[in-house]
Amino acid sequence: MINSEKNKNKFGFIGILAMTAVVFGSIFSSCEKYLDIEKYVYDQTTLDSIFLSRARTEQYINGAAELLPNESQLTGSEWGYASALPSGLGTDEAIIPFELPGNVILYDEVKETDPRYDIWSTCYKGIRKANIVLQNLSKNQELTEMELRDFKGRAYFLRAYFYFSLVRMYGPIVILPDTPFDTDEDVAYASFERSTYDGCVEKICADFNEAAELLPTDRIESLQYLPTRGASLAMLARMQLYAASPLFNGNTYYADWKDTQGRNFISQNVDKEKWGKAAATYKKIINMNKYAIHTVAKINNEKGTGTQPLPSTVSSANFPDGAGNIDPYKSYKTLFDGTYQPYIVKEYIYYCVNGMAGNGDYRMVMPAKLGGNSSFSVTLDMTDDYRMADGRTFSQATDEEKSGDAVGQDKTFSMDYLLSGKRAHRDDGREARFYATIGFNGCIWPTTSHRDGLSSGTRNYVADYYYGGSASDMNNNNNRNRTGYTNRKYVHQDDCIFWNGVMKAKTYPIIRYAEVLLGYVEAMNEMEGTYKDGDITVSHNVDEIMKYFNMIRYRAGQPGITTSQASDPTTMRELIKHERKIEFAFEGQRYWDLRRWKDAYDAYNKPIRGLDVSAPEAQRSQFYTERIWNTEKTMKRMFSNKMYLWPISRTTLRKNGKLVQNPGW
Amino acid sequence: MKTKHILLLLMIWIASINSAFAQESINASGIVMDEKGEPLIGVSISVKGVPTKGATTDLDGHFKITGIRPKQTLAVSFIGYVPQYIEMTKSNERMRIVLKENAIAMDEVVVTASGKIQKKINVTGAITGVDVSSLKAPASSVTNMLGGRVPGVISMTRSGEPGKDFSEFWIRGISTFGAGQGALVLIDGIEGNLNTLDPEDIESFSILKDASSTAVYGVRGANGVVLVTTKKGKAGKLNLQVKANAGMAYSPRMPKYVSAGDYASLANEASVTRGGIPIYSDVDVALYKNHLDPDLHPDVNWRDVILKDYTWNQQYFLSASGGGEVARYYISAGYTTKDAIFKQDKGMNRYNTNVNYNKFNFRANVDVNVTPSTTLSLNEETVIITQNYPGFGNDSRLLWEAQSSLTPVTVPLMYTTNQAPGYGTDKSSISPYVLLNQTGYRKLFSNNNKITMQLNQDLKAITPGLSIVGLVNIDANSSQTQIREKMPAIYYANGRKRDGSLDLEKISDAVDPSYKSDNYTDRTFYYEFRLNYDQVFNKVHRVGALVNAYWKDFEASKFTSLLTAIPKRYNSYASRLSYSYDDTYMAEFNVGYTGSEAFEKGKKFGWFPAFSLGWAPTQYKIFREKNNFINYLKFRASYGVVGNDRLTWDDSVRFPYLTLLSNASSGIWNNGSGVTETQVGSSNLRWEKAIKYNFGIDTRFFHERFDMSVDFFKDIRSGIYQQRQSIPEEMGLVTLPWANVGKMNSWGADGHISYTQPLGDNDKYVTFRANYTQSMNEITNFEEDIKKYDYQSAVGYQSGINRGLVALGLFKDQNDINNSPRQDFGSYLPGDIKYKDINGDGIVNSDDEIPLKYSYVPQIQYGFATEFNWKNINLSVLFEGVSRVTYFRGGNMFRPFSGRNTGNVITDFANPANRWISSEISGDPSTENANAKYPRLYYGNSSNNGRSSTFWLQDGSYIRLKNVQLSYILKGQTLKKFGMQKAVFSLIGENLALWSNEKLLDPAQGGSNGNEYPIQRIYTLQLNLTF
Repeated sequence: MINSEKNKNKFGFIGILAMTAVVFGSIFSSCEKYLDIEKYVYDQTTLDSIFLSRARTEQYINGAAELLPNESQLTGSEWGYASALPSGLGTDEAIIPFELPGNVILYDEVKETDPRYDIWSTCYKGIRKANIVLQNLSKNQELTEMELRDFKGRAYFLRAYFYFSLVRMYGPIVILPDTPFDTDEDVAYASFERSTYDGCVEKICADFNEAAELLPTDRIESLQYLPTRGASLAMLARMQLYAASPLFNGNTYYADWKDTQGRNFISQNVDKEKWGKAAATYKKIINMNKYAIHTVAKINNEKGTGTQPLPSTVSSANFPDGAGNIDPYKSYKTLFDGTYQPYIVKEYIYYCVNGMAGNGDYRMVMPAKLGGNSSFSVTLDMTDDYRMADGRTFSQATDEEKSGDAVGQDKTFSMDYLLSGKRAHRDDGREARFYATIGFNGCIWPTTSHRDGLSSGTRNYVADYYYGGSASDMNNNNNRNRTGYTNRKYVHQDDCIFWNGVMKAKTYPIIRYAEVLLGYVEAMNEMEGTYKDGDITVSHNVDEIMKYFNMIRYRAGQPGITTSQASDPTTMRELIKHERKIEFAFEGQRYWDLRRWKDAYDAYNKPIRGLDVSAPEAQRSQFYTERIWNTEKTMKRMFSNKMYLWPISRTTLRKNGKLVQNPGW
Repeated sequence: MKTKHILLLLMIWIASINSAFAQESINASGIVMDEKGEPLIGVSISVKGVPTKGATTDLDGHFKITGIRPKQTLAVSFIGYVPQYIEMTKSNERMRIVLKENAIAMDEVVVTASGKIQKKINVTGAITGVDVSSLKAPASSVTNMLGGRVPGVISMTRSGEPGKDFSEFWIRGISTFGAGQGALVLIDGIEGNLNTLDPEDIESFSILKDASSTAVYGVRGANGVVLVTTKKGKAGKLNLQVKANAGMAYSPRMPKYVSAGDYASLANEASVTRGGIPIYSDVDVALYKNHLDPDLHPDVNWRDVILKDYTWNQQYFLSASGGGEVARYYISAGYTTKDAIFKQDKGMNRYNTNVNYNKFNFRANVDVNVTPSTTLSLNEETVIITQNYPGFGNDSRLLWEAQSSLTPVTVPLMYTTNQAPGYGTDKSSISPYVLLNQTGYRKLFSNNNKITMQLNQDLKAITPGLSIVGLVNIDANSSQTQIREKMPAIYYANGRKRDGSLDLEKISDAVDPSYKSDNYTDRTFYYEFRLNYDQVFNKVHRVGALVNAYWKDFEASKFTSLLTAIPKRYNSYASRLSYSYDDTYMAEFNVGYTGSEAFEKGKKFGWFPAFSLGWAPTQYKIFREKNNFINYLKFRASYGVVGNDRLTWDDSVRFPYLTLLSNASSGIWNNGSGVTETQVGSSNLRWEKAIKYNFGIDTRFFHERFDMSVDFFKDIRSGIYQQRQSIPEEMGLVTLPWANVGKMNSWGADGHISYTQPLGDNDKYVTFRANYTQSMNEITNFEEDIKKYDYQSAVGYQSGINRGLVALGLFKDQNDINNSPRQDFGSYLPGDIKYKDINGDGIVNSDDEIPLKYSYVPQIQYGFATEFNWKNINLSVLFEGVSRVTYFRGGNMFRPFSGRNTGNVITDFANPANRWISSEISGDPSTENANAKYPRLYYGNSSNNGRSSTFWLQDGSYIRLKNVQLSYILKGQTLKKFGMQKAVFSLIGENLALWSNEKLLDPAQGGSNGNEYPIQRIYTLQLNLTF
């Protein structure tokens, strides 16, 4: 028992002292300290810490690049699902018999409520990241001046590329302030109207220009896939070429489409100078003298399996004045089939690992016998545009040359390209790019990496698209070719899915020098007068048109064009369009080209033509009869004007009251 | 009635005798003081039976009355003190009247923030002191007693299941659509749980409603605060209290389902009326009716199979308190046990599978005077709960769902070949009989311990009125669920084989008994210091000050990720200054400076100031002299800011201000790894803020017999957390951030009035009480997608408002259909529900859904009670009601055959008058009644009739006879022989009657459509002994 009387004062005093000490001690030991959670999170990555470290900053920029559409995913993964863009399956080059996001646009099933491709938010996420980088880079003390320029350039390139992707898809889009929004920004202040198309182009060009200024011209091999000055200029030029094209340059179809201030989203005045701008940028790239058309030397061998002899119509001078010293098939084929390490290919300007390597979309082109479904069916509109080896068009070929009768004789050229005697005459004697790109009935799939015993599997498989043929899986209607032709542009001799075979790693050229040359030719062909950009002056120069256009022709082993052809812009325009179709077949270009030229209506609103694959092998001549295919939903192709631009998703529209939908949707 | 009249007559008679004998005049004067010898100011002294005579003590406590007749009685009364009656025989000029503080009259003092006891007369905030004696009824939880008893509280009991039969309650209704709508509950200053508190332990109970009374709680106070203090020992002799009761509970209202025969013919009608073929043949229907084939043609009333008629509850309580000058104690123990109403088939298993709830409460409050000025207290509370469930789940809901989804014809109880029946693998497709008896069992137990050590130092050595308190609290809880689960093989009979035996299809394999357990622990550390100052200067200046600081830290095993497992912490500094002059003018300033770990550096703390003013004109001498009717009148007004830091109700979102990153790739750049945000840091996150206005009037009049208090309030909430669902996609945020964007206003009034009519002596009186709470709200900003029509927005409407189509009745005939807008919800025929085309676009679709009046939380709750006391007998009656509440009828119950062969059909549908019947079936055109209660039957899911619409919108208002208590109180010599002071025998009835539009269910459970344990009616016999 406490003697309270005795302890009374003492304890009271001690109690007071102790408690006051504790109270005031606690109060003054910083209010925030008790609530600080720093010790729990300091070792986790936070945004602020990112920009203090060189490596982390680079990683953050990489994280933004992760959002870039992977343009190599033309048909999407494995069986075609989830491609990056509709340009692989939504164009007029081919059809597939099943419904995928990539092809619904062909038969008008894209809707505002279900647009199938919705890159809107992904691109704006990328833009925000790029803006965050640009806002914070200066904090970084670890970066050298060179690195700072490079990183900044990457951010500008990214921002421009995301905006470009949006514009390509949707036309005019929202151009944001360069400062990222606060997360609690009032919806009204964060809601922007769509800029005019020209306004968007201006922003994109400014950013690509900025990137071109900052980015290095050359990169070491380990950084080869990163954008360079050349890549920025090439993207800039592509944007300028698109902007100069008829869809966006004085297209009166959009005359009534205006923003709230009455400005036309699409300019109503045809401005020929826009072509000049593109031409000047292309010229800049050519003047860099860094890039070249890729060629492989002529193969001479005594067995007669080397380079095919040049037709008399083709100049036998050395490239680039002729095709005398090159192998046209290999020169073109090796751009896509993974033969060369990309770093040494001078034609590549901006490129990436082909995301379809692995099994990828080989499944869609390979015959059932080799583990695919051969459903990727190239239309005759496409195959007929490949010329004969001597430069005649297919329509100029003789009846015998067009016939379906078997040639009867095997043939090998360019060392390893095998042709079966079962091939039809119509698939014989065509230009080199035909063989590099098109798979046909009787075409051989060598699968040379096949490593199991001879008894298992198939080597040098001869494609058989007849009804019930071995290229088709008769148990699955989707696993059959519909036209008698497929695409083998990205297939290498060695490629083999089964039997311990390998798929060769490949490179996908996002921009190759051929595009620069054809772009330059097109821009010059369309421009009027001269256009000056710094020390570069461009004009409608017939010599240059011939020179650069023929480089593409000669590399393919085709005859060059004449001065009179080059001098007539109308003739030239058709030649350029045709050349782009063949040169860039299945490279994701045609989808955008058809639209920018306003050619999509004519291209799509005609029936699908193919061989009669309903005929069995016994009815060979029936098989080789051209017919119209409209028996299936995916063959009922059509185009209406709204499809020039992709619809903005309803969820996107609902979140920004100032957005308007594209016309017709 | 008769007694009352006689009584009144008697009183008048006694009074007249008194006056008849009065002749000479005497004087009385002197001083009135409290037990400490402090003079009391403003004490009213009146002469019984002479309303004109009387006086009030002055500033020194003095009074003087002249002209009193001998044998007249002086009544000396003062708020908060026991009145004294002094019979005057001769003049006395030097009277010393000592008034004792009235410990029982708790409504005269209230507990305010930080547990401070304040005289109600000085309170300026909106605080309801709850009469603790009214909380002594044997209810499942203190929360169940609030509705209808406490003004300012909206409360609903949604379930009758033991262990879940607690109420959700909101102080002044719902004032935010964000997380954390509930009030802060503090028991002895520590956050606690009202559901496990034994009402007998409560010393005082108050509800803090406005900003002025909750500002010191800062970031935790936005939704109001409930303050409870528990009993403490008092110096003196041992006080022992024993309570025991036993209650019988049953379900007064449950949906009634049709028999097999009725079911089959209704099913046939449902199919045929839509052009289908009969579901059951005539032979089937006959077999259902005559019960000759129990395997394939069963007729099971699942209610009878798994429910008992009634069940028992018991409660025991024991407390002892007392002590001496040096130490005092209060210890108590309570035990509650409740069995659910499920009927276990003891033949099926050897363990208990019934749902039950057992609670053990222990409390010890010990105070030790370490020095004359230092008190050390230890408060300890332990609550141990054990619960039992059938093996399938922690919830009896499935048993109710199975009852409502299994039709009488689906499966028999058991097949005669002894297999367990079921028609699907989903648990609600299995017979509830199997679920209850053959799935094993699970046991839950939880231990909840709270220990508080408190040191109270009187600092009058420094200056009188100053004291300091420091306390440490540790709250440690753990629980475990032991699951012993199994499942028999489930069969379904498809018919009979050729040999006549049952063709049984095995639906699922038997699952052997298995064991697993779930464990949970949490703990809270809490420290608090308080500096208190109270002093009266010059007898009129009452000054109070409080400075308080606390630190709270909470961790729990349920948080399992790096971020969520960071301790939840609060740190607060608060202060209050109060001043009153002569109890006439009052002013109070409160401020909280509260911080939470939830916010980013530099933004963790916020200021929460509040002001309040009070004015009591009745304190003016002049008012008192001129006015005999109004005995007391006070006006109060307050304004302040409080906050709410909860982001989500389950704390799953924490630290949204942090930008978190994780590994990514570099995509097509092939440049090694990348990083990307997994959470985009939300900038500028702050508290949800509530600006609160309150205006109140307290008054007593007519000889203090009427006591009334009214408060009007308005809350302006802003910065309610919302995840930004509808920001423009162009903002480019990788994850949706949180922001303080929501806004909501709520307003209303609450109040109470009581009237006490003495019927003679102190122990004879009748009291009437009524209280009322109304709380309305409107969302003023809500982040949402751009809506096509204004009425689709949340803005401008009540939070949680029911939305649906407007029904125009049933289609009369094909003509009616042809002339009406097309309805876009599947096929429909005459007799189906016709909807209004709100937007006039010629199509009825989801765009025509509009906000329909009210939500599932009532806007108005009220109660009225009466208490009659006549000597030893006390009768109290409480009615409680709600209104302005609606819900949609739905589910199986109101959509028969929507699951085709599942879904029990309520008898309401069997009555042909209730539904639209095609004349082709009834042969009578009059049965095509467009005003019928239910539409044309549908075998399958009628997506037209099943839409939420006014057709199914049910008014959820009700008035409930919530409590009736009849007590007999024994006191006096006979008891003293047994050492007893008092014995009370009570008969208590709970939920005895219900008046509502909804006749099929208890409207408080309306939204559950029969899938919830019904609210029970309980009769309890109680014995309460005080030694």
